[in-house]
Parts: sequence; C-alpha cells; structure tokens
Amino acid sequence: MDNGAEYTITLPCHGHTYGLKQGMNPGAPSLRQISAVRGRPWIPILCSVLWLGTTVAAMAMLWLYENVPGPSLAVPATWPEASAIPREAGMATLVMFAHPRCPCTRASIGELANVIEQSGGRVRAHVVFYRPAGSAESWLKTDLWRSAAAIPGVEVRSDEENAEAGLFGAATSGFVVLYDAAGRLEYSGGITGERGHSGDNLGEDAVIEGIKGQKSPVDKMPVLGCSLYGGKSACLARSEK
Amino acid sequence: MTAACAPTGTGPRAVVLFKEHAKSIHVRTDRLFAWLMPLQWAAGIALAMWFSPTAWAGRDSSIHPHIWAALFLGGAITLWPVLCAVYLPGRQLTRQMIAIGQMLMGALLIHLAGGRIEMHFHIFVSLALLAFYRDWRVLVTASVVVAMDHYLRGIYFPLSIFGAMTVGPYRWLEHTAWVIMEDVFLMISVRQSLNEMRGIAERQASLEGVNERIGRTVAERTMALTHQIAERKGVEKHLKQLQHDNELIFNAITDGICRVDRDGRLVFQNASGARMLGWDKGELIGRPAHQTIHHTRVDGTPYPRHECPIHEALHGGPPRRVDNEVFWRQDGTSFPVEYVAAPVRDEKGEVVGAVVAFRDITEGKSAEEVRKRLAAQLERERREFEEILNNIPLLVFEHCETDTGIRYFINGYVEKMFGYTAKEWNSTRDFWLSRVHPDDRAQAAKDLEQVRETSYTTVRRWVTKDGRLVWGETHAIPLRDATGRTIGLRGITIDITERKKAEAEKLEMNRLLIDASRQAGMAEVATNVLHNVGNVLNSVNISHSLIEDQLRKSGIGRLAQVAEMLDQHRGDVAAFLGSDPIGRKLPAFLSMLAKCLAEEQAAALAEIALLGQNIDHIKEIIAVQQSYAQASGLQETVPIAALMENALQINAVALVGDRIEIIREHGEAPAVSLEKHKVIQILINLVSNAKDALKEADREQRRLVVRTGYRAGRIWVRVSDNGVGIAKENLTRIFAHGFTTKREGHGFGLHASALAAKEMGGELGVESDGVGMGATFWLELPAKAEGQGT
Repeated sequence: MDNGAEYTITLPCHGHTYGLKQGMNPGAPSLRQISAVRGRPWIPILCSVLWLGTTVAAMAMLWLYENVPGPSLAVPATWPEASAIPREAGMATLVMFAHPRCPCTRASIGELANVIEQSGGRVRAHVVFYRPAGSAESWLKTDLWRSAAAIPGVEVRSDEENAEAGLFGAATSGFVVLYDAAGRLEYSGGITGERGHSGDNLGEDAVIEGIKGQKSPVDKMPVLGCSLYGGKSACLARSEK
Repeated sequence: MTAACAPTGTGPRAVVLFKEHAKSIHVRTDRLFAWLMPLQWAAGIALAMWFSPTAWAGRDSSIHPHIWAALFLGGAITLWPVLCAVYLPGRQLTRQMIAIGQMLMGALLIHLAGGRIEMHFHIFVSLALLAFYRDWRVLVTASVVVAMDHYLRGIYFPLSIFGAMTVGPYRWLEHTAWVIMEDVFLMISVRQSLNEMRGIAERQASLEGVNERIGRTVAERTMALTHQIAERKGVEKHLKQLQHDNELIFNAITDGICRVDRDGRLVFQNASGARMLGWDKGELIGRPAHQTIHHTRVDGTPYPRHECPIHEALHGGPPRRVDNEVFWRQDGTSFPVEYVAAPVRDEKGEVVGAVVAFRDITEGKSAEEVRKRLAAQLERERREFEEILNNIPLLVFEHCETDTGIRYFINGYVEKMFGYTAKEWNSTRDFWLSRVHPDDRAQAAKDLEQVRETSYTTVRRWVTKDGRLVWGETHAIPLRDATGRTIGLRGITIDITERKKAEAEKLEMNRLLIDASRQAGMAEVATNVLHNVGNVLNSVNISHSLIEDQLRKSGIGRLAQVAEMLDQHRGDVAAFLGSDPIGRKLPAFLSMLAKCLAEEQAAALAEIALLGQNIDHIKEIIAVQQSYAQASGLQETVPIAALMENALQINAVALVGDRIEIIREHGEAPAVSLEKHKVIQILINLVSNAKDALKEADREQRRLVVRTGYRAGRIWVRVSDNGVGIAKENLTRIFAHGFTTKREGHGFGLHASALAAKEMGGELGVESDGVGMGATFWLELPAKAEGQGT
C-alpha cells in the first residue's frame, strides 16, 4: 500500500469500499480512520471478539480430537499361546503394537523408551509393527521402526495383517500390553497423555509400576493413535467399545 | 502506555514526545508481528507436514487433521492480528490481538510438534517479543491466555497437560508460574525502558526548547547568511562572469596584455600575447617578465631591468608608451613592439603590480605609413568631393532632424543660384521657403509634407537675393532612420531658368515658324500657282507664237496679190485666166491658196481652242489654289487617259519642238471621279519634267512614254523618259521642297505635285536606274469609277 497515495480498499468483513485521502500518516491508514468515514469505530472490537471466539472454538475442537481415543478390542487376560511373540518366563513382557507410519506413535515410542529406561531391565519389550500383506520392506521399516529398534532391549517385529495384534486385541497404534512374569495381564492401553504428545501420563506410570511389581491403580488407558485396521479414518474414529 | 506513564517534568511537549516515541515503538512492533505471524503460520504448516502429514488406518492413509489444523486454524489465528497490525497500527487493540494470537499460535505449534518440550520455548520467546511493545498490558494478556489454556485444559483434558486425571486446583499455576516469572522480569525491563523513554522525552523536549531557540536564532542567522550567501554567490557569479567575459575580451584582443606582480613575475598573459611571444598560454605565468621577454635591446645590448619602463611602472612610475623596443620570443627571435606599461594599484593606492599592453608593430610600422597615406588620400578625396559638390551646376541639399540635433547641408552652388552663402541659407529652418516665389509657396509647403512619405519632383520659382526670378526643378527623397521613421529629406535642385527661357523662345519661334509656315505656305501656294500657271503660260505663249507666226506667214498676202493681179486685168479677166500663162495658173493657185488658208484657219482655230483650254486651266489653277483652305477639291468624272492627253496637249508645242516622240499606252480605265485640275496639274508637271530631262539628255531619239490604267479602285499613270535620269542618292530627295537638278529649276513642281497627290489620298513616285538611264514618274490615286457609290 502506497503511503500517502489516494486509493480504495475493500474490507473483507463488511465488503464496503472506503476512500482514503492523501497524507494519512504513518504508513497504512487505519481502520479507525476508515471507519470514521462512516462513523462506526466499534467494528474492530466486534471483529476481535468474533475472531477470539472462533479461534478458541477451533482450538477446543482440535483438543477434543486429540483426546479422542482410537478403536479398541477385547484384550486377553493371559498371554495368548498362539502368539509367535516369545515370552520369557520369569520376566514381564511388554508388547507395543504400532502402525509404522502413524505420526502419533512417535510419542508412544518415545514414552516406551522412557519406560524401558526406568524398567531396569526387568521387562522384555517387543514392538510389533503392522504390515499389510504384499507390502515392501520400505513400507514397514520407517523411522518409527528404527526408533523402536534403537531402544535397548526392544525387539522389533512385523505383524502381517495384524495377526498378532488380533491375538492381543490391539486395534490402535500405540496399544501396549504388559504381562507379568506369569503371563497375566497387568496393563493394556496407551502410554501417552494426548494424541501424539509426549509427557507424563497415567498409562506410562502404570506400566512402570507394573514392571516393578508394584500395584498400579490404573490398568487400562485409552489409546490415542491411528487404527491398525483399515476402512475408516483412525484419527476421527470413535471407540468401538 | 497511558498518560500516567508519560513524563511529567517538562510539560506537554515531553508528554507529546513520549507518546510519539511510544507510538512509533508500537507501530514498529506491530509491523514486526505482521511479518512474524505469517511466518509462524507457514512454519506450523511445515511442521504439520513434517511430523504428521498423513493419518493411517491399516494400509489406508488420508491427510492428517494436523494439516488442516495448521492451515485453517493457523490461518485464522494469524489473520486478524495481522490485519490489525496493518490497518490499526499502534492501537491498543492491535497489541492485544497480537498478544492473544501469538500465544494461541504457540499452543498450536506445540500441539503440531507433538507436545515437544522444545516447542514450549515459543511461549517464552513470544513473551520476550511482546515485551518490545513496552506495554505491560500486552504481557498480561499473553500470560492470561497461557493461564487460561492450562486452566481450561486442566479442567477438560488434564491428561494432555498434566499427565494425570486429577490435579490440584492450582496445578495450572505451577505451569504458568514460569510465565509469570518471565513476565515480572519483562515488566521490570519495560518499566525501565519507559523510564528511559520518559527521560529521553524530557531531554528531547528540553533540547527542543533549546533547539527551538537555537533554531530560531540559527534560522534568523541562516536566513541572513543565506541571503548573504545568495548575494555573495550572485556577486561571485557576476565576478566569474566578469572574469570570464574579461578573459574572453582579453583573449579576443589582438594586442598582448600581461600583468606582472610586484616582483616582476607574470601573473596574467592573454592568448594573443602568448602567441606573439611564442609561448603556450599558461607557460609564462610565474616567469620573470623582464628576463623572459624584455632582456635585450634592439641593438643586441643587454637591457638592465632598472632602465625598463615596465620596472618603472612597478615602482609607481607614470604610464609610459614605448614604440622603439623589442620583445623576445621563446625561440630567441625578437619583434618590434609598441607597448604601454602602467602601474596597478589597490584600494589604498599602493602599487601591487603593473599591466602591459603591447602589440607587434612589425607590420604596424608600415601599416602606420599606409594609414597616414590613406588618411591623406582620404582627406584629399574629401576635398575633391567637396569641391566637386560645390562646383557641380546643381543644388545639393539635405535636411535631417535627429535626437542629437538638426543638420542642414547645402552645397556651394546655392551662392551661384540664389546669391546666398550656405551659412545664410542654413541660418533658419524655413529660410529656403522664404525664397520660394509667393505663388509657389503653398505648393512648396505641400511638397514638404509629401516628402515624408515618398519622393517628389517639382518645378517652382525662386527669388534670388538680388530679386531675380529663377526656375528650379527639385527632386527630393525622404531620409529615414533605422526604424523607418522619416527624419528629413535630401535632394537636388536644378536651375532650369535657361531652359524655361528656351522653352519660351521656342514657343515664340514656333509661333513665328507657324506664321512663317503659313506665309511660306501661302508663298508656296503662290509659287505653285505661278509654277502651274507658268507651265500653262508656256503653252499659252507657244500657242500665241504659233498663231502669230501662222498669221504672219499666212497666205492672205498672196490673196491680196491675186486680187491686185485681177484688178489689173479687170477688163480681160477671162482672157487673163485663159491665155495668160500666169492667169492660167491662177485658179489652181487660188484653189491651193484656199486650201492653205483653210488649213491655216483650222490650225489657228485649234491653237485658239487650246489657248482657251489653257486659259480655263489657268482659271482652274487659280481657283484650286484659292480653294486650298477648303477641305475638299472639285471632283469631276473624267477618264484618266483624257487628263493625260490634256497634259500632253498643253505641252504639245514644246514636245514637238524638241522632237520628242510620244508613245501612249492607255489601258482600260473607266471614267473616275477625281479632282481633275489637280491631276492635270500633276501630269503637266510630270510631262514638263520629262521634256526637260529629254532635252537635257540631248539624245538622237527622245522618247516619252505615257501609260494610264485602272486597278483595284485606283488609277495609275506612268510617265517614262529616256532622258538624263536621276542619281540614286537623289531619288529620295526629288520630291523635297526646293530640291532640283535643273539648272534653272526651283524645286517646287514635284514637291507640290507630291503634296497634291497626297492630299488626294494618292502617291507620287519615281524610278530611275541612275544618271543617263532615264526615269519613270508614277502616280497612283484612289478614284471611284463612274457608277460606283460615293
């Protein structure tokens, strides 16, 4: 906008055209000056209020979405024997089911690392990544795979067409089950407080306590991540409980 | 910032300055965020695309909602604060909207980054940036937004923010405490900045006051200085222009001009001088003048400086002009110079140098002689011209009125023409008018007015000093100045008095001539009458002589003898006649005598008839001459051949007596109406002249051929002889009055005949091959044939 030049602008909120006179200072003419032409100085205030309400509402909707858990299935109370995942007797076993491309699972992997670090070697951890039948290795071995594989003491494996996930009732990426040394289910659910958000959360605490043999008041938490099963948008799916 | 934050110490100006400063800070910071927030928005989109581009469900993927959130929610968060920054810069509302938007954008970015701890630094950085406003309210608003976020999420999504479902009511404060701490320090900094701004405003106001006073003083002095500078620049410009003009003048001058300082060193040399001395223009500057160009005399001896007039001028001597010395060129050659050396003094009168103007007089010496010679010649020619002007026989005058005065000029002829000297003539403006004849004075005054526009020529009378009347023909032209305005007149006056006299005499002579002509005409008429009558009288005399001779020789005497003889033989006439030898011859003698007497009678009667014709002709001649004053002559219808015969008959005796053979060749010609006696007169003259020419030629065979005819309304007559002829140079004069080739001729006959022929509308001419070749006179006259209309 050329300062001092005579020009017209169209305000988007009203769609009116105002004429501006040369010499208005400094820089661009103000809406107050513009509005003063028509005698309505309260317009900016009204627009501000509307804007604030709109953005706050949109933020609230975002947060709502972020806290909507993914689909969940029935989790076996004991270690399913049909599972190909090895369970070491005498040690707790933790299995995380993840979608190798789910961005929200990044935080879960991060929290898993935290759990493994605090577990003191008292848990055998596995991260099982969903792999569609016929998919290439590159589809599976993403940065999540590598991140998970980089966690000391974590074994990473693929799960073609959710064969293992179905045995453990995992339907959402980031779903974690913790079985004690006897193969009894200690915890199932997510280990992030919000979709894709790192940070302290009840699920992580419960898993750590379970690994340590402590009794946690929490044995289940919702999972916030992408669905392991196709056919619906996981980020907008509701719990299938 | 409110008025409470404004400085109080230095009055309203400090407050205004403080507010202006604050406003500028607000506007500047608004612009900063106007750029920053869109960048953040773009960063959020990039962040979402990096961290969570797609959402998955098994093998199916879709655009992650974070992308939409970054795009639309981020855009929404950015848009209104940026609009406020652009259109409402510096306003409180704008700052507040920016603060809210910045914090909301931070929340979004943290969320898009998956809650990374690193992204939380955005909050603290944003607070620091918001502190740029130096407005604690902005920090408060931003902090409130953070607190509200944590508070509300603590209520509705505690897991997301605290990681626990149940938290204490003031857990949110634990999160916002750091924000509050930063706020505190930022506000302290803001306050300090405001204090500094206040101080700056106060100082600036104070300075402004001082500056204003100084400025006023400076402005006044500046204005004065500017004026002085402008004047000085004008003067400098003028001086430069003068210097430039002077330099141009000096360099244009063909003479050399140089200036030396008190030490005798050249400080100025114009181009002409440098050229004369063989140096480039600037090379002489700084050199000692005497040692460089004036070191030696003409004779080659050294020229001491103290003897040099230029040196004398440097020491205050009077200006000196020298024309017998030389200057020396760079190449060692010298040239004669004429120079003037004069001292140059400053305002105090002290000599600060000398100026020398010099010229090469190598050519000037001879040029001076040439000039003197030319001047003498010019003077001589001027005197000659003046003498010519004063001696030409006409008056040359000039009268000129200019702004510088009136100038009269009249040459010396005025004294000859009018008797007045030039001084007397130019004594007054209108002296000349007083000398114009009174009857011509009015016209002279009109002519004077006319000459203002155009030239004029006039003839007027003048009265001389001694009272004589002279005629003058004046030709005058207006004198005009460069603008075309008439400032006088110039002209000449010619004395035409003699011409006027001559004209008068000529008139008188013409009158006398006319009278004489008239007399001459009358004499010519009388001569013509006498000539023509004389011609006829010749014939009359001849006829008279013939008759007298014939009568004297008549046979009447014989008859008397016969009568006497018969008387003697009165008694025996029969016997006498029958037997006398003489008597027997008497009847035959008487018969013959009768025959002779009859012949004599017939001849006498013929001569008497001819005499009667001649007498008639004489009468006619006289009548014709008497009728010369009338317009037309008596017309008669006669055949031309008959007139020719009449003329021959009148000259018949002379023709016969001179044994001239007459050959007649008359063509077909009707009777025509013409002035019979005039024509007869002409024919008589022609025949008479032909007779005289034949008689003078003295040939054995004298032949006169007469021819007549009629053709195309004109009768023609040709009279040819084989007499003495006419010389070719006389053919054109033969008809002139008084011209004759005859010993006893008078030169009137042919002249009168030619005039008569001309009067009748005809022509008389002559042809001759020369002397001794005869001549033919021809006459042609218009004539209407009988029966034709008049």
